[in-house]
Amino acid sequence: MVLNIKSYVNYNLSELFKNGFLIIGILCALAPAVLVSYLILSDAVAFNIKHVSNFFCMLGMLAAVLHPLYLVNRDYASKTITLINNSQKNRVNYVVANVVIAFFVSLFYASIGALLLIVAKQLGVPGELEASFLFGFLVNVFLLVMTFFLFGYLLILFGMKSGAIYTILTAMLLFFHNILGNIVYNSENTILTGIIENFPGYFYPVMVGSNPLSPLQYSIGVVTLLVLLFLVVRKSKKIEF
Amino acid sequence: MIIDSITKKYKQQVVLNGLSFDFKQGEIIGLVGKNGAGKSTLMKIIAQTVQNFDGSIKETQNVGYLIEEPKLFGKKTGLAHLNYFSAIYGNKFHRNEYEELLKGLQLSGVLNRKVREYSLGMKQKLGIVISLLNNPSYVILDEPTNGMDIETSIEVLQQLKKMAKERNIGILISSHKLEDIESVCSRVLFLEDGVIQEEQQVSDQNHYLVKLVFDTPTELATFQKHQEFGTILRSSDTSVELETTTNTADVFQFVNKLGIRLNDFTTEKKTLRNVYMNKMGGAKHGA
Repeated sequence: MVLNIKSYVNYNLSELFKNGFLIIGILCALAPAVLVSYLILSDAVAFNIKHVSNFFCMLGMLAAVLHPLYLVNRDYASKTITLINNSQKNRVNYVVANVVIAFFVSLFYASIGALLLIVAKQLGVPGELEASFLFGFLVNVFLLVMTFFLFGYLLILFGMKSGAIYTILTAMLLFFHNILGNIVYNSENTILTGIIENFPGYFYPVMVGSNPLSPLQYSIGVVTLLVLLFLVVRKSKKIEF
Repeated sequence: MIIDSITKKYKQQVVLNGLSFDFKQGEIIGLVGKNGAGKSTLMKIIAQTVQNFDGSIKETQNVGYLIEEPKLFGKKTGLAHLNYFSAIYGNKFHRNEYEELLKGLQLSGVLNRKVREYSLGMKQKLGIVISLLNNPSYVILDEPTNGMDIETSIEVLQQLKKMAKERNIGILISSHKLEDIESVCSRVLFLEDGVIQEEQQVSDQNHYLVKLVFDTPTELATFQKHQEFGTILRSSDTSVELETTTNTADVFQFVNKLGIRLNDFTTEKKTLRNVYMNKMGGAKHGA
């Protein structure tokens, strides 16, 4: 019996839609961004289009990471994973299927986010909305979601409880980068600030909705993603129940 | 399926030690042994949920299994489980193909209820049906009647026997309920300390375990010299234990004919339970 990636993805993606998690997540992402857009258009705040994308990413990225992670955590917490993680092929197929789900979720969030920015711009929110920014936004969302998803997946594989994982991810995506940002702002040590600025745990949450990353940051991001994927596959192949 | 020289260690502890046996489709094999004998580990290795071991297994690509407690989603219905575990393996669950099994297991009427409302026995039965999805060639069942009453256990075992025959599925069952094993298995493996200590064919013919106690060693020797109706299991100075298909009256008649006086005589029908007790020192086991 070989796990069918396409069937697994179809079934579980449609479940994310049916149980309302994706809708709730996207509403959580949209609500602050729509509110900020409204305030901008009402001249209540002097923000621009990048603030709209930042507010979209604030909760949106956390939700986008937690959706695919929910499926993996569900299977490991209920131990139904033991009905899937049998042959080496099925173990790899399971990882691939969940990575595909994470990809589609990131695409979904990136598309909704891009659409929101276009609509906000059309309605009169100030600021340049270049094609390069939109493209950078799409790529950033994809890289962030995949990286943090695989990081959370790895923690599940090492037996960490879901509550602890969600707390860590929430801290990393919402708070931790602010601490690192303060260090960068206040430190005169260029080596330390250079390390922090090129650390994915910092640059993804900070830059995702603001600017395309630098070539070095993209390179580090891709390498980090590949290393995490390698570790998840390796651990999945060995894990015993 | 050929299980060849399986050895499994956890740190320094050897759980399975060079274990080998073969297993055909359509056959039901029982696996018995004390707690910690290595039954579940062996089953997990066959199911491939445990990967790191020495030795080899041929034909493991099409194996269904229920090992230890059933692993289910509490919030999903029984039917959703059957649809899901068919769908992710690229199949569609056709209820009509399983209706007889579902009715036999009394699951048919509760499939639309959420699994968290199920009793342990119902979860076990659902786990068994899941193990039989996707046309497996072999099914591995660890304590499948756990949590079930006697009537349900009998029904489940009869359904498994039927499935094995009709769908040509090889089934490996472990259980502490030796009567369960005896009722469906054609062969039983006795596992102790990670090795198969004994392999027993389960026969439809009645076998008896007879113990004869004589007055003198000479009388015992005379009996042993002439007897042809049983296999001697063990003997002491004046007593002998043998396994026979001959009925008790014939044994008495034979002893009288030899002119030997019996001091004591006991007989019991051979069951898996007393074989287990005799060969595995199972008195501590409580089976």
